[in-house]
Amino acid sequence: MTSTMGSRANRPPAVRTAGSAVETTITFDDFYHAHFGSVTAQLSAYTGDLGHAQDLAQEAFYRALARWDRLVRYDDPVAWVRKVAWNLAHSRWRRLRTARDHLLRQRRTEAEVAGPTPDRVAIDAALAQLPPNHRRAVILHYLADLSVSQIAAQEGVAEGTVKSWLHRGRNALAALLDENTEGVRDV
Amino acid sequence: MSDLDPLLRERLGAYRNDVISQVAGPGPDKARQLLRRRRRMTAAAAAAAVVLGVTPVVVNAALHADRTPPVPVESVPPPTPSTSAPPTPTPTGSPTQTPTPTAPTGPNGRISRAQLLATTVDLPNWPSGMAEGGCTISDVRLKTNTKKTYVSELADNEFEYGDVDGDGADETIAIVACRYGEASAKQVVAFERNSDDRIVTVGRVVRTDDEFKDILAAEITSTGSVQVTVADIVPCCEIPDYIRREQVRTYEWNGQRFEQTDGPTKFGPDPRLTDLRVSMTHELAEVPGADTRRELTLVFTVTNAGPVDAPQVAFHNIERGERAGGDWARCKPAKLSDTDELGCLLPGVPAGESRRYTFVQLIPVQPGADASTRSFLVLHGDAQDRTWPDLKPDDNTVPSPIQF
Repeated sequence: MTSTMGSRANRPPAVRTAGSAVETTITFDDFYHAHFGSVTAQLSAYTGDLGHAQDLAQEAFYRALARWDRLVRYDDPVAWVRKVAWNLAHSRWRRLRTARDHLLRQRRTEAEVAGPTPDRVAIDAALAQLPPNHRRAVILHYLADLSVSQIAAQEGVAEGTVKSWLHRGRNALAALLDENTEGVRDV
Repeated sequence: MSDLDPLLRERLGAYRNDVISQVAGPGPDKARQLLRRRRRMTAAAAAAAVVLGVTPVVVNAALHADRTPPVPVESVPPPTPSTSAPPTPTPTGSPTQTPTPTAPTGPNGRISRAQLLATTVDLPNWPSGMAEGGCTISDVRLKTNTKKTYVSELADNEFEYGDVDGDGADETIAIVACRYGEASAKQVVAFERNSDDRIVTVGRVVRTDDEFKDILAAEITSTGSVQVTVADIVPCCEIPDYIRREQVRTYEWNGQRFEQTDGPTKFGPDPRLTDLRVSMTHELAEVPGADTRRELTLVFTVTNAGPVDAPQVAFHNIERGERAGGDWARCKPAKLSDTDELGCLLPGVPAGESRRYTFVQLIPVQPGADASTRSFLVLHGDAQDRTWPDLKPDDNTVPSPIQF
């Protein structure tokens, strides 16, 4: 048997035991408002498309709502939402399928909201040049504030692998951002 | 952490704040509206089923049978609630409008055969050569029961339903095929619906390749794994079914794609086969008396290089004249294929040993008009009188010393 036997990265977290169910008063609305922006920011950094990221986040939060009475008892409901959203983002096929819709939406969004800051553009451009594994690790660590062990659990890889991804991603990102910054200054 | 860490943290933190300041999202009410709308669609489908006195699945199949005009798949409500919905939760007293325990957990990815056939889908890449032949992958309208080659079609296998990517909603597993002759390239593909209820492709579970040539079945387990039964060959034409080997391999979604998590990863050499090696000597003698024919004696030495015993040995293409002695009397008929003449099946050779076989026959002095220089073929036969390919077939034939 030579195949990879990694654990599934997208299983829901263990349900909190009855004895520790102490924080069940959070409403879906509160949960949504508290986390929608940060989840969207992570997805935007990963996909480079804010409109797409909002769609993915909304779909993930919708799915959370559909099972909210169970999800609210999880230790970390946002982890479930983040996994679902990232699973949705990972699917190349779904991205291809909706590419046209995103283009249309992007144009509409550009007309309605202020454009991104130069620094956000630079970070999006730099992140886009990282290998997907490195990009995910950087985003989960710096934007989702996950620890190495948490990223390893989500990605189904060893912690050493995550550290390697982070190391490489961080160095590459720093170099790219310096280049981009210089480029902006030259102009 | 390196010196880069605080700098990046600060810069990405600003990035996050910038995005968050611009993003409010459609809001929780929009999510609630979508949930209500999808429930109404599901309820309407269920109500229609009750009126007609049949189950929703049957109704759906009847409404969308192949003979009816194609139905826009995007507008078809999910036919049945998820069968893999989470266990009925304990009421928590949440102040929000929480879903009922029987509500679907998201866009219902349970897609019927008729629904899939009624829309266009993107398919994962086919093995090399299929696209060049005409099996496309973009906006494909799958066919069924077609005899044409290089047409992307839906295999006859029943669809499987289950949550294979852990997103809380069911997906549909189907087998699609691209016929390239007597056989077809195949792939197991996961489909689901997106938030607009359109059918979209999640990804490929596995496809046929050089290592295995056929996919026989796919099944979703209770844990969301996909168990695929694969076969090393497609036993068409003159290849008997018993040559084919099957394996069950398990695949799981790793967040980006399906990867194999259990079961064998290769077929490898067929453990039922062995390596026979053949050499031959011959004698050609005049026949005393009035007979104008000559006596041909063929002596085969068969060595079994292993790894398994050959209970029997089959000699093919060796008989042309009149049997005149040797091992002919012990022969059992050996059939290589439907079109092949019967050969001679004799007691075999254990692994690591050699046996000698002698065949004497009377042949004309002058070869006939249809005479040719033929090759004699020796194969491994099992206890059920079935013949088998050889691990190294190059040394299983010897040329005839004469034309006859």
